[in-house]
Amino acid sequence: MPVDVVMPKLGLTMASGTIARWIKRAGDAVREGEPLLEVSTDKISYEVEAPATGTLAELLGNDGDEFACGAVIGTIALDADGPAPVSTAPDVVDAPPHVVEAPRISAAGNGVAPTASSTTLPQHATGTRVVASPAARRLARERGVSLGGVRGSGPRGRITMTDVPEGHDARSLVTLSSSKGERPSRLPAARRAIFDKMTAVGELPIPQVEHVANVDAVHDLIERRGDFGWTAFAVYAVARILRAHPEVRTNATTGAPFDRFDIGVAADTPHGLVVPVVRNADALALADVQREIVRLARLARDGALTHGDVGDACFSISNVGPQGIERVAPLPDPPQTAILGIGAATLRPAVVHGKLRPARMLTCVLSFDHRFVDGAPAARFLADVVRAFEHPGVFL
Amino acid sequence: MRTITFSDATLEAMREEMRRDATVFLMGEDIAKQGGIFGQFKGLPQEFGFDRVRDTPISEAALVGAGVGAALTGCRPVVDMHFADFITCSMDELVNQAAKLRYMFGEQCIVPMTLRAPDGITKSAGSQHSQALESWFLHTPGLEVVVPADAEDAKGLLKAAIRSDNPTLYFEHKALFPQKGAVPDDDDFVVPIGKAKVMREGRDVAIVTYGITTGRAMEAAAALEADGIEATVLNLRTIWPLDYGAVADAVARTHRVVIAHEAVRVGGAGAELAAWIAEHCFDDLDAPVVRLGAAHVPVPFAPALQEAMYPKAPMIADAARRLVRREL
Amino acid sequence: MAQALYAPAGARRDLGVALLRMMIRIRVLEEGIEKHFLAGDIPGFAHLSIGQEAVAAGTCANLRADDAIASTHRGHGHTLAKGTSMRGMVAELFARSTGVCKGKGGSMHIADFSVGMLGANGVVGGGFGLVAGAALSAVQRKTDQVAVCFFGDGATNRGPFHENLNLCAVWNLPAIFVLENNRYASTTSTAETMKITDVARRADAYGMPSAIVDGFDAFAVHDAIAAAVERARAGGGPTFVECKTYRARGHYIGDPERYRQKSEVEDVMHASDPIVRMQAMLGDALPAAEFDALWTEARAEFADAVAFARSSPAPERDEAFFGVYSGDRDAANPVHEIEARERDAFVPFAPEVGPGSQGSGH
Repeated sequence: MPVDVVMPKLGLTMASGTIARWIKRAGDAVREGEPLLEVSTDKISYEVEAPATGTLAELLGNDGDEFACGAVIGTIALDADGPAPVSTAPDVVDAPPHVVEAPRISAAGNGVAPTASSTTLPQHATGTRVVASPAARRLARERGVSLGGVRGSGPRGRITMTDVPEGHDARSLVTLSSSKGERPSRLPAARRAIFDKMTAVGELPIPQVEHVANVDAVHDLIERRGDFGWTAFAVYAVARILRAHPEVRTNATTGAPFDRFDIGVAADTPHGLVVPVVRNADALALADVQREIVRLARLARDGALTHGDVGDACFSISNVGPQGIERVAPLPDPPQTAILGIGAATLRPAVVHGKLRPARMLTCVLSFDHRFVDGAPAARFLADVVRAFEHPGVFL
Repeated sequence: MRTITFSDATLEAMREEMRRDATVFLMGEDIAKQGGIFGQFKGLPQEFGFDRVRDTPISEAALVGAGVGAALTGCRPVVDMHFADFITCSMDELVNQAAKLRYMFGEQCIVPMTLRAPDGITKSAGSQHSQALESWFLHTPGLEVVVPADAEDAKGLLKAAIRSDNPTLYFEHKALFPQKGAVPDDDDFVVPIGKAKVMREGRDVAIVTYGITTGRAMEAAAALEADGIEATVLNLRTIWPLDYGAVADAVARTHRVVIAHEAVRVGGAGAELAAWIAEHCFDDLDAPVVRLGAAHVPVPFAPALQEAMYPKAPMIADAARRLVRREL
Repeated sequence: MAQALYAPAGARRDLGVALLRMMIRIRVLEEGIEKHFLAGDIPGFAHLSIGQEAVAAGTCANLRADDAIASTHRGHGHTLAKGTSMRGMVAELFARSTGVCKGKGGSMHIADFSVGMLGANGVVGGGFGLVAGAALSAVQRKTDQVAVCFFGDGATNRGPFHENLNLCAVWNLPAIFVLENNRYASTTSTAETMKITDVARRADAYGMPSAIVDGFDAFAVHDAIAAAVERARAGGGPTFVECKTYRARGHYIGDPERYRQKSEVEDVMHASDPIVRMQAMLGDALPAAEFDALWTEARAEFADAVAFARSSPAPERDEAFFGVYSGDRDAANPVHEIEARERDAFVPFAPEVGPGSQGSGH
């Protein structure tokens, strides 16, 4: 009996993933636990291990194809089965029926709209039967979400309509941009998710408030102590300041503030932008924040971040200081509704006590989603951040 | 609109139709001199004569058979069964003759007969005077079956039955006769056969029902409102032909449905609807279809026993509540 | 075989010839049906009335087209005698769309409302109520129409016989009950199933006037019915006429007839064949050539009916699903939609498409 290789669900809100790259090819022998393929989502890339030992018999998707979580993307013939038919991901015309029905998710601007054949949206990834009411199943199809892993609150664990998760994070945005979103033909697979997300974000009302802060004091602290950097300080300060500013940490999915203070830190890696998250940053000491950032950065560089390292942050920070650039006005990472961009702390003309003199100046830009955050609260938050940068002693 | 009793509503219908069409006549046991045991025929022989309102011997087979024969040959007889339970004494005439002649004879004839049958559980009448048999006739091709829920239905459906060119069974619940309800003044007011009526709308659950259970469902809906649950109550009015479309709409809007009737639950009209809903409204269902009906026992005599074995408002509300709370 | 003492003349002779013609047509029809049934042309069951022709012919000669009759499962003779065409009858038995019931009734449910024939009935005793009702209808509409019920001895043991005779008697309805006492129900003789010999005594029990006649004598039947019809039209109420007769064939075509001796059948028909009787009674009033011509005409009529039936189409498949309710071919009628869905479901199997599936409206 061949064993299915399924698109894993790597996080609560993951609805689909892309086959970034098959590591093994059809016909290859595989061992259980061995890396089989790379899967990418809008947040990270992930190596999927072979679930069984045998021969990789069928590939049901090619590099770059998207599948819903739980969808069968390949099969492994167990050795006891004898020689298995070997086939690569076939053309639709030649495909046996269950291949044709593996849901392809159209990126044509309407998010994860299922095709007619996705009525066979597959069961729970482990193969156990999902117990869901017919209406819940239909709702899940309409929303393009998988019911695998969903806990039902109906009798005997039945999934009912109210249990069906909301659509893919990007979908709530993507519904705004139904006319856009035709991806360029040579767009690399790994860039698809970010392409879609930014296409959607581009439609949103994202104003900014900005201030250039005099950061001589922080600069001196960094030089003296040596156990933290600019990004760590920003994370440490922002996590604590956010407690008093619930609007700026609104969750766009629910409309209510996030109640945890997980801060995302944008990181540039050879694989592209990733945003690892410092969990419970408001409870960490500054040196611990620094250690955590360093740890996450190393993982990011190595492509070794897990799904638990990314996502579900309440706020993010983007720092272009390492690149020597003074200003960045980033876009919020949905469902977050605000983001702080900081640049390099450079010597610039400043007015101090009425006199013109050089000082280390840091440009802070707060971009925010005006559907949820107004200018005044944004400005108040930024003011508190600026105060932290200009008078760090308050926090330490 | 006027408020009159169910009994008077049927009487008005009879009077209006007998005035309108001289071929309409009425026959049955104990109707002319007595005026019907619920007073539902009083005054008719005085207006139309004892030739048009006839007391028959206790001969149900002849009563229904003659009704069919008269219907075949240019009259519109209204045949009163006294108690629906006695239809059993004339089953051949109803099922093998009335229901089939038009079809078997290649549409050479019509059978415009109305068969009135007081039915239902009331007052410890016992098992042979308390039945609700409409599901037998939903199952018999060739018959129309209507079940009024209130005075408006009583008048409008009886007029429709009399005017229909098909053999129509009119089941009137004995306990409804004294119940008052609003009736339109228009003496051409007819409730079309085959069309259900939405008694109230609500998003959370649909209660599909008919006859006397409609009133009980409305009581249940009022109780549910206090719990913050909004129920749709759909009064079928006609059991055959069923208004499947109205049922489908109610299920599509609410995703949860209780079907309730006083007739025995097993093999009742609700069973046909539940199966149909499962076939045609499957993807609209967020919960199983629930049917409520009398227990599969003959109706007992003792009031304490009689009252225990058929669905009333609290039971309907409870079923609906549990559906909405996802306990079922 | 007894010869008439003197040949009838004038109107009586014409009546006799008319009765004879009808009996010969019935005989030819029945013998032809027997042959075609055994050849496989006729589905279902067929019940022949050979031997009983005088009752059908003698009764119906008294009736107008707007008088009603109700018949039995053994009704071919009644149907023809009341005025239905042989073509319509044979096509019906051959299950063609041109049959008088569009192929939906067959032998046991053959009817022709255009001549007041309210149908053969597959239920023994099914006609009593229909005739009581037709008679009641005449009274309600104040016409002088009468209604005649044909039935056999077996039917007189059923409840509706008693209920309807009583009702017609007490309401004084213009009904005539014509019993073809052919001595056998299906396989049981009258001697086995009732204590009495003359069933007309049962009419006494209901206070209904009655007569007992020789059912092989078409004149006798005719005269008895004439009196009953006159009484009924004049408002004198119902009459019961018992015709002593015999069926020369089994209960149904194919009946092995284990309940009687073949010699009995031969003896009775030899002594009492109603066609031979009438021929004898007419004597010289009917020359042999004319007699033969009656047969020739009847046979030609039957052959034409068979050719008509053979060249007629079977009913369209859709016909199975409509024609149940008046108005059901009208798309605006709620029943039509239900019947159309049923039709579409049987293709060979398609789940009924209907409102609610795929979210479509009603």
